[in-house]
Amino acid sequence: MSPIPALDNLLQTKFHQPALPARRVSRPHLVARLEEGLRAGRVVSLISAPAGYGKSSLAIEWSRQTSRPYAWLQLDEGDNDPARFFLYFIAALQKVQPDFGAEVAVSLAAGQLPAQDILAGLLADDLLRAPRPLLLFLDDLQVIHETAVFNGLQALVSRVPEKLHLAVLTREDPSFPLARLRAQNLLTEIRAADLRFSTAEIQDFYRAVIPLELSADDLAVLEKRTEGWAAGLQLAGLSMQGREDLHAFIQSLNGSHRFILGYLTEEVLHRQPEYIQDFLLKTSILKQLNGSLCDALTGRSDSAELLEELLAANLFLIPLDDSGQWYRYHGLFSELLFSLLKRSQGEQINEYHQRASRWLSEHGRALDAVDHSLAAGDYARAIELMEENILSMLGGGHLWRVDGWIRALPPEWLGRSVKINLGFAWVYLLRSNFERVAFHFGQARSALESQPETPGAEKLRAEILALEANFLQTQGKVKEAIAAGQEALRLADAGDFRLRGLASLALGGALRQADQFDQAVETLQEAIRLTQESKDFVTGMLSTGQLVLMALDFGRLRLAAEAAERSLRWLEDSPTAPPPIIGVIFSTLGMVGLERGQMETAREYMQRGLKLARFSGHNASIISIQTNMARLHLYERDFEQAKICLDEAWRLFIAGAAGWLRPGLIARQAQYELARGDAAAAEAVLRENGILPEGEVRLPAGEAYLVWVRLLAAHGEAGIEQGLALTRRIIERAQTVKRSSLVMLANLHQALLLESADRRDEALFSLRAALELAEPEGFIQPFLEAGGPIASLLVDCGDLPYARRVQSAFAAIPTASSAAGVRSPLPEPLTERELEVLRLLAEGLSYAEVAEHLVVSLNTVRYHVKGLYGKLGVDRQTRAVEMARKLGLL
Amino acid sequence: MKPVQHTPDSTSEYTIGVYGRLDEEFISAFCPPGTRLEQEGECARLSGIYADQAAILGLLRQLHNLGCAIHWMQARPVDQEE
Repeated sequence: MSPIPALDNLLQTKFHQPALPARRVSRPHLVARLEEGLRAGRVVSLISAPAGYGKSSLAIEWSRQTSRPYAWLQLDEGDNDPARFFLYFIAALQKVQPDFGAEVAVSLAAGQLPAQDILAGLLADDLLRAPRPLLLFLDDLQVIHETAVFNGLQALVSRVPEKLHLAVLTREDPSFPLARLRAQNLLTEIRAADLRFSTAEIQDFYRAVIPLELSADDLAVLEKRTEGWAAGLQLAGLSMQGREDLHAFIQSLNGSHRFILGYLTEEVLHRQPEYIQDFLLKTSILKQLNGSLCDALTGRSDSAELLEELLAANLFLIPLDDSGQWYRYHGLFSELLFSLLKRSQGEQINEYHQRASRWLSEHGRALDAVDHSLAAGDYARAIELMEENILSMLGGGHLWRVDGWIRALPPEWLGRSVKINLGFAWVYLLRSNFERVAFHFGQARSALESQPETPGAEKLRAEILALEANFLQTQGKVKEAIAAGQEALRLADAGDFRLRGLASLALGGALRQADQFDQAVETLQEAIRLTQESKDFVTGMLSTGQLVLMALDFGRLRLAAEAAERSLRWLEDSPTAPPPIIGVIFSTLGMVGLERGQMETAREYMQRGLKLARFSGHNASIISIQTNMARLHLYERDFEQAKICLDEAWRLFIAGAAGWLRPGLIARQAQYELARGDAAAAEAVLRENGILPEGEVRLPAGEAYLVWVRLLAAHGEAGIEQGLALTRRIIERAQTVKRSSLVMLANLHQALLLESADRRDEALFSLRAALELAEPEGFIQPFLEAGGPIASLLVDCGDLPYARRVQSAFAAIPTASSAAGVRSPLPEPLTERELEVLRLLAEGLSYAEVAEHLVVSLNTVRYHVKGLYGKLGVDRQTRAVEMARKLGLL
Repeated sequence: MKPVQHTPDSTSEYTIGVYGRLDEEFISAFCPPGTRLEQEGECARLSGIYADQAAILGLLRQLHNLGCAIHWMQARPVDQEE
């Protein structure tokens, strides 16, 4: 068993390197070339040739001789899903480096794919820790066409070229920039022309592998006919075994590879007993064979023994494990056998596929079973299998493969299945691919409408409504989402916890957007309870995500923290990969910490949340967390980091994200501009997004309106009055929907405005109101962010216990004054000149002396003094000096 | 002089016409040395591509992935001594 449970369900046969045949033609000159490429530090060895040239044999021979630790990965079509590809990639390399990719493997197993640079960075870090460089064989790379896979490989290899060497076996050149690698001497190539058997090698072949007495002339003819093609030589050898007149047989060979191959395959086949011929033809439809499956397909009972016979007879059978259970045919051979099967038993092929499908579905291999049903044209059975297994198929990271089936199904068949379309709609909803969601919804509805009314129809109707409600609420269509969610709950059976959980999630999310706090909380808590009953982990986490985000919006820190912590405990007990929303859940704990002034706790949780969000490639979570991280950085005056966070958030938002993220992002961007001292830019951000100081206050953009309050404060008395009017409107609006934290913040901003206007008593009144609202949930940070003026007012609120607590928080702000480490708690920091003026005043210089010292006019000094008084919230010099010392500025 | 061979492993000189725009960056990353690019309006002509069959298949797939529609292609088996 692997150290990571998520990897337990992988097909182990994909890692199995075929055995090196005891009798073979050794190719030391080619092995030497490959080994030399390793020593020279090249990053890719490309063995590129059509089928049957001996690519795998050469690779196996090399692997037995190299001293480099190596792993093997047999690729198939399903590996075009990048999440699946990199999961198997990691699992393969774990055979030689057990902890490789452990962190991200769990997410990949759930079909979650981090962004390319994140994935490459994570894996590169692990490779750097490897004690030795590694070698990975990728067999049959020609089946991979997905550019995301190639881009990911390239990104990884380019980061750690010295740590990982890829040996690529392929029938066609892969979509790597091979020409560039070639030019940089980073590529070793073995091509078809190199793999052709030489005269000496052909002699060796017919001496050691298939011993035959052949003259030099016969060997020359064989070389000419087969052109040194290994598969041709092998088939010719098998055809000649037991013949008397080898010379005549060899002379009879002519034509192209394809002709020779077809001819020789028939020859080899017809030399086998009838029962073997029948066995080979029928089983040619299978990608992988074992005894029991072959028995079911052929009607025999001795298939296991037959397979061993075929292996011993060198009949192109390749073992896939060490226990002799599973095999496959060499691709070329099986293709030819299948074409012979079509010719001789074409009308029975569908029946064979159906037998295979039945066995595979009975033995837990539903994916392969569907393949065979589709090949048989048995669409009804294929759909039945998909419907039974759709959620596990999609949840198990097989989206790419299942998507391929959907495209292969005739449209009229796809349109018959409600369940399959619902399954797809759900997966695409989770991936925010709304266009595909709409398509599959439409299909699901049509399918339901075209079916006769059955007892199960109401349940299907409820399912459609539940998913539709979730879709509508992500689109911001709140009323429609509420209606659909309520109807889904009405139709759903009382005991159908999964469906009721899904509907409750949608309804709760919509109620949250409608600002119906109490109802939303109740509904989402019910959703969580139902999903715990049904063990629907994903829906449960999504419900928690909605609940905690809403709780934070409404300032209910305790509710947010409790819900987040409960869900994390649930996560610990669950074997499944954490769903993408887990990043937000950790970030919620970070936000609670931040609001309570616990900066290190905040940072730790947010960084953890961000990492998990990046693992899962869940952009909405990344945007939400980065918006919050920017706030932390702004408080620390780290504008560079704040900008990095905001840039990433905006980039992802513009690429396509849910609308509910926008108001928070706008507010933070405006706060950033204001903190940098660019009031004009802050104002532009707000105006461009339709947030104006006059007119209706639209929630949830409440925080953005508060930035207006700060901007208006700089516009003199009229601005202050306008700002106060705005805070009153914010308070009124927030109170109607119980957004107590917004009411608190508005009161705090009122206090700032009033204090700046020298209306201290009114300012104290507003501050007390803010403190009263802050106390139940433990808000500290908003007061620290408001800075000096609030610290000054708090002095006169000392009768309130909570005021003293906030004062303690101010006093605990670090006072280190190094240039690198100083953290100004002022929302608008003193400029260097203002600080210089204040320093000189604190030393006892007069205004005139300061002017002389700084070589500026007296008016200029007065101007700077006015500015620093305003920022510190004071009205006289002694208080300015006192406040500056308190804040560690002097 | 060895006779020209018509096998998948032998080298041919290919010329490909595609609908779409290509640039030198693509040539230097994905095409064998000596490949020439001529852009003729909305069509690109790649010439002087010396490759075996596996290589040309890979190049065609790369063009396909870039959204280029293959317009025409010519292959000229080359003398082994060229």
